[in-house]
Amino acid sequence: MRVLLALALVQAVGYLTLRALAGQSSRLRSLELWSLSFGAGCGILSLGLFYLAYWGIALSPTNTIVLAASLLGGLVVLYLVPRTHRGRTSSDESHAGEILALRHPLSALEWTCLAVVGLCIVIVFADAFSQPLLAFDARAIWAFKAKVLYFEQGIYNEAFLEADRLHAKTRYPQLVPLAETFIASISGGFHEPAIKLLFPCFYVSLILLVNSELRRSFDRRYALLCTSLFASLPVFTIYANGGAASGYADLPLAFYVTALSTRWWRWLQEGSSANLRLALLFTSLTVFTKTEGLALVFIVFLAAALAAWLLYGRTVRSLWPLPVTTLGGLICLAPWFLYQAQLPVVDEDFVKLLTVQNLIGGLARLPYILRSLLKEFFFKPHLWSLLGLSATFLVLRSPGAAVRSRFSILLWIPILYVVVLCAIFMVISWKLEELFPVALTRLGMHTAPLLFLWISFELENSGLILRD
Amino acid sequence: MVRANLALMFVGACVCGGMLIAAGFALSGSDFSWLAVLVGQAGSPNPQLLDKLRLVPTLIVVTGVQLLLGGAVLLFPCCRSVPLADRVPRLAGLQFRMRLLLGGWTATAVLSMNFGAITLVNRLQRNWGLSPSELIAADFGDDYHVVRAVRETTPETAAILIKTQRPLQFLLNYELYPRKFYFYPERHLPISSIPEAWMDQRRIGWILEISDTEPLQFQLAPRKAPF
Repeated sequence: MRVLLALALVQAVGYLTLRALAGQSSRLRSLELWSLSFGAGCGILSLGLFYLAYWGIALSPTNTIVLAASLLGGLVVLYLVPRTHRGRTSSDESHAGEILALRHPLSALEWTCLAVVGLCIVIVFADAFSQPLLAFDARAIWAFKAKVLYFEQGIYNEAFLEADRLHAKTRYPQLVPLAETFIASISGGFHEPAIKLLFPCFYVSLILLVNSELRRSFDRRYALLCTSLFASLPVFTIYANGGAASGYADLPLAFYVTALSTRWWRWLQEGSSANLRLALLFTSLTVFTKTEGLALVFIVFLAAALAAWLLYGRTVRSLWPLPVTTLGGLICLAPWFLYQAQLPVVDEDFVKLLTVQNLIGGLARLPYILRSLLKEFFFKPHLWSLLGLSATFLVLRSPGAAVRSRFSILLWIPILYVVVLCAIFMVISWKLEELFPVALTRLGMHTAPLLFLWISFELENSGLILRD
Repeated sequence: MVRANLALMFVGACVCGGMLIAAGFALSGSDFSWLAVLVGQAGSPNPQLLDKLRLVPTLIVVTGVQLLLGGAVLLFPCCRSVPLADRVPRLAGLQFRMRLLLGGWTATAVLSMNFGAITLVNRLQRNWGLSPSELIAADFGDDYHVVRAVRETTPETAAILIKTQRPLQFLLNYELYPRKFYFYPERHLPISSIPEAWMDQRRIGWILEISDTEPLQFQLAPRKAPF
């Protein structure tokens, strides 16, 4: 029961934070708010716990409750006060519009799509709740950190700072372990099935986010059809070492990258400052989730800048919000970067390895890398369904239009990410034959929702699907 | 025209469903090592994957039954009265390829959902009545001897020097927390050559050595020298 309270607290903090950040003039739809709330709540609470720990305040259950209560109280005040002074807002209007849309009876196809989504969610929740943490990284990396944070109530301990203490991926960011610590603190103990529920909640949020993006542009039927296909992607539902029930950080990262990218895309379309504030929040949370988050933030920044300049005809001077927001998001994480610098370097520093000399030296690895990528995305329908095939089909059908359409940022980000990953694979010292079986699918998950969105938009844009 | 299409779809669903059910029963009890090589991440069969692949015949039968049921639904009067074209997104140009793509997506979605549900039911049946610690022990398999030995022999406050290259060390680190595991930075150095001062500094009281080669062998011993 207390775990439900913890999850509800996360959702409430996220919802109110988004309302506060988006402001009264927000054009956020209620579905969009709900889809972003859980991730935002997890991120805000994890950041809050990290700041407490950074300043030497113990992460005791009492302090955790005080933090959550103060955040919630402050946000409720922020939410209630402006409401007494305003009438109907655009957000209320869009909410009313959604209710109106819901009043139209669902067709048989829509019911089927909803049933598919519901069944996928039930499978993932039941899978997560029916057993303790069993996936390797979920225990060895993320839950180990969470155990240390929960039982030792801080970050300045030997488990993190002593180089000779056994600790996998010491320098990995701590959003997921801190979120697990929060759940454990509120639910009254470190119970693995309760902690595992975090990840299916991210899965549901991601499904809602994809649906809300599709609903902005398409009718309900097409949006539901695409959402059901996305929800049933096997890589999320049945993949044991990285799927939505496994306890890995890849799904939360996929959620944050999708949220960040769609905020930038929305800013390009609408130019509203609310999206900038949300982009700042999701920049921080993307970087704080996993090491790859930093690379993804720069890729999203680059893609958004290029799209603004080449597709939306913005002048270079008008692009100042992009670097300012990205930098703002990184500055919010300054305590983390300062703390991370104190942690022992046990693993390779990828950025330092990315030199021209190393890249030239790694060219011999390229054919194997490309072969593996091809095999991963085209010959593993039991993980990716027809995602790779559909994307290739649409790109080859009209390459120019695919790259120049107004939503091509959703394609550029996965492509740029694959390029960066290839460059890293070329320079690292690990044996790729050992690395790829455990890492390639999970790395592909990070930008899969964006690629899926691009396919859905491109299908509609190309006129291949006519709507009544 | 609509009725002819429906009849064709009904016959197709019945034939495919029947074939799948027959194939499922025929494959029951077969060796799926070849499939493990094909679908496995490492390109080689592992026990967990083989265990899951044993459910493939059930998956095929269940999908066949669903096809038959889907075909039966087409016989309902409501399906016959409404043009089929109103029930799917209307397509223009490249129709065949588009329908093929959508059909492929739907087929993999159905298969993955069925597989997820079958795996879940099978696991719940098998694990019924087992406590979380018994489930963890089952997941460790033979390696659980190490967990049990360390847990039963050492106190929770123990500082343990671990010497192995096996990834198992990280699972022990999690499972046996709050015991503290340390490794000497030069991993290949024999334990006898590790400086006593280094061990004293970390108050190491136990030494756990696990073989890097198969079969797994381990030795857990208290450290003789005082700190």
